[in-house]
Amino acid sequence: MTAVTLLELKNLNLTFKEKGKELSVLEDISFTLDEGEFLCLVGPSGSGKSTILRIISGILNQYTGEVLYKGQPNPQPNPNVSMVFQSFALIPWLTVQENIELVLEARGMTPRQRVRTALKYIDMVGLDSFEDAYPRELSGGMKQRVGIARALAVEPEILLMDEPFSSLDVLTAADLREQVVNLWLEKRLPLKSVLMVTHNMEEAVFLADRILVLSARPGHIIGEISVDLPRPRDSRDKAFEEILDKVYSMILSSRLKS
Amino acid sequence: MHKMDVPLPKARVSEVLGLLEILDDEGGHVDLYRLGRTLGHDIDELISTIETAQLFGLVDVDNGDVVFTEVGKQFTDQDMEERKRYISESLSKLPYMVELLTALAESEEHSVDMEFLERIIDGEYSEREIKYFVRNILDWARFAELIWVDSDEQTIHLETEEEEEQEENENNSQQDYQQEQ
Amino acid sequence: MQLISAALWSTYRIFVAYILSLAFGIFYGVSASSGPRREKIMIAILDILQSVPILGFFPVAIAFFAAIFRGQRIGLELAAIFLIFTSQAWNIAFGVYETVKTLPRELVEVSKAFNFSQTFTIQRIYLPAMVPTIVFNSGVSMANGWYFLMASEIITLGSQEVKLPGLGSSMMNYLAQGNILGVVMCIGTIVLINALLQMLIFRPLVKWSELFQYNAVGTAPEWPAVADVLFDFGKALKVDTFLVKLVSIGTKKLSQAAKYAFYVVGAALVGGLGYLIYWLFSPPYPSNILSQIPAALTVTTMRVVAAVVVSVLLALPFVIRSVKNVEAAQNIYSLASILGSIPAVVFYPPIVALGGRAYMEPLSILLLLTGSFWYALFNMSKGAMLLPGVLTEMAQVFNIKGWLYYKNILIPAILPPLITGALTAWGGAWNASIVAEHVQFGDKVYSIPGIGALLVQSTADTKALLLIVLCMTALIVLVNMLFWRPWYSKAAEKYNITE
Repeated sequence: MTAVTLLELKNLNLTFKEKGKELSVLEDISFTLDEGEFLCLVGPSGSGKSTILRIISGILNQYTGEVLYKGQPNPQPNPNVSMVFQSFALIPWLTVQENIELVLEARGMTPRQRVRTALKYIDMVGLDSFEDAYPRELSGGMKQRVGIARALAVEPEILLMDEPFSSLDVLTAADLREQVVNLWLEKRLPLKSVLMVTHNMEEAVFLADRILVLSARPGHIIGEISVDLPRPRDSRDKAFEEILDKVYSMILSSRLKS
Repeated sequence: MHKMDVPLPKARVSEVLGLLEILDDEGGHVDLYRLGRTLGHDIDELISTIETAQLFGLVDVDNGDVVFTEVGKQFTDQDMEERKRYISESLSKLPYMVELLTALAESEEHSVDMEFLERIIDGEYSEREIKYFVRNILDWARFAELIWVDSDEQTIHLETEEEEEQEENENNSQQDYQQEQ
Repeated sequence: MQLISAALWSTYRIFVAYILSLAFGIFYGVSASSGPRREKIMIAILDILQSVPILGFFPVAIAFFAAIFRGQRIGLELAAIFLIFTSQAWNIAFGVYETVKTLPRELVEVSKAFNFSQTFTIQRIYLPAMVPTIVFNSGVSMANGWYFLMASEIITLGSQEVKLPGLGSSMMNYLAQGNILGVVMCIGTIVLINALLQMLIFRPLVKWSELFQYNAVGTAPEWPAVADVLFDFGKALKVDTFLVKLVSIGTKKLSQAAKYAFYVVGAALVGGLGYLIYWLFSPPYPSNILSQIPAALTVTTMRVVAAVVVSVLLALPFVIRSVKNVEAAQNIYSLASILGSIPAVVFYPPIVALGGRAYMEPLSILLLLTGSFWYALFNMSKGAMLLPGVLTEMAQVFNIKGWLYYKNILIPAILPPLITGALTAWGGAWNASIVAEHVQFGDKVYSIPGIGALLVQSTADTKALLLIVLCMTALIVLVNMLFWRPWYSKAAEKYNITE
């Protein structure tokens, strides 16, 4: 299968200074994100995986190296890129619908379009009848549904997800992961690719087509594993466990003398 | 690789002891991914715990499995006093610990200030990481009864017989104000 | 030499007032939190006391103390200490009240489960829990005390002006003589004393007080030498037993006899107040002054509102800057708290003399600003530090900029502290208005119409004075109740960032 490359990172390096010390955060990160691909970045904390998302989304720009979107320099911010945050990043004084409408207003949509689009995506994540609720009235899982609806509402080609399930309890996270798989499989969206960051290896194997393993500071890619399992996947499945073991071994082998 | 290899205990005492208990229950070896599952797939905790256990020669990683070493098996069967003695011996050999113990031995009052370790740990670490390392080193050294820490004075002291009494006295005098802690 | 003695006099007054404030604050705070009925009454009274423009109150207090002590020096000293006390006590009382109200249930349950005696519970649980709020509010109270130092040392008794020895009065003398060096030395001394107090006492204590925070994590703070000294000192003077007594009396349910006594005293107070009001509103009216009150109050209100609006607007750019920069925010925060403690009243005469009569109107607003701006900046920068970084990141990702960003994210996020800032700026501006509208420099008097000027001009007529203060206080309390309070509680609920 020859896939179109959406995003290409070339020799990304990032250091930051703290009290006169130079700390290297990212070292020579290069990878591509292809159309139709669900890619996961895994690694321990300090591997800079969330930093990579922040570079792609335009929050950070003091790096060296290249970020290309469809072969051109990645615009900042890139309107075709959207993001789901670990801690939801919902504005507490806006309702579910207003939270989503806000990002649509920033895109210059008319009020009528905004309402229609917001309601459509609220419906899609199963939150109809919650559009007038404030975030404080929602459980963690529902908040993240709003986060996902907001990210999808701007109809991006690339969805960045930064540890989207790690603030949730185990059961809620499992449920929401299923939902994300379903949304992804339905292919009703303009969405072309997902780039997700997680430190949960099982989650990565559950969701991804391909996993990039990062080492701790400075973050660099130590390996790649493709997950060629049919969806929906079962974490107790033998093939699943084999891949999981491979990911674990790879990530630990970089750190431990065996 | 960078200077990440300077041996430091990166996990807390309780985490390593917990890992050894799990290993013991599993008959001395366990698949990495199953261990990961037990820990809720917290990769950071997994790495730092295994790394620290390895540092003390208690476990090895072999082909995707974590296994006991000879010493580790013995250690798990020992009582607390013997465990402390073992940790005390191996901890005293770590470079940063050697530096700390030397400084303590040379100082007149057998004490140094709290920032001593923060000053000597170099390499590419952020402030936060260094604070975290220092906390864990102190955790281990207190466990091994090599040192004691006076939080009120922010000092580290060499643990000796007489000073143990002194510590008690000091604590009593300030207990009045600290009881609600 | 003269400077040193002046400094000692001023410091002694501030410390005596502070110790009284502390005792009062602890007693009032625990009392107010020990029963729902008391809470309602005592907090309402505290609210009103807090709203009274302290400086306006002062001539009345002097008249009172002077009458009791027949004009002797001791009466004037007490009046000065009383003024400083009124600038220090309320916030301590509020802090203690809030701490006791929010004391973790488990701690109270521990004292019951292990059958602690009352003395033991107070000594080991209540008093330690109060340490953080007392330490923090003591710093604020000290700064407030210095701010009112000037006014407390120059006392107008009828047509006669009495000066108590101290830094405030020396500075006035130097100003009148045109001795710039003397003025600078006085200000330097005030700043020096303040800086020393902050550095040697309050900063170490604030850090140390984290030890008493419930559910704290991480390394324990250092035990500073100041704390040891204070504890030894306190033990020697039996302060601990005194405090335990104070708290146990404050929390005690009133016995039947005490209740009756309380009612009698209360009735007497209400009766006295009633008589005072009757006297105030019975002829002969100081009608020439009375008729000026509405107009004067209106002009001053407009000036105060202008000062509040300008304070908030001026603070806004600093706040916006500090949102993304934690270090900047902290710098602004500590700068505002230091500058706020400088008695800006000091600078009025030279500022006005330099500006001249023609610019008196804008100058008076500028003078009000010195009493209000710091409060706005202080509270608003506190709010900016609360805005979570992830919300600004979210705004970047979705390209939310300009007006959309301010309207939906930044301004709502800082609205509760902004209202608090505006409210305190409002109080500060009223206080400053009493000295900003009628300024004396040497033998020249610069004055513009307004309630402050009216008040200063009628110090000789007690009845007129009381009526003016009453009108001012009524207006301030009314606006607090009808405007600030409801606005704040609505905003605090809706724009709660920590949700």
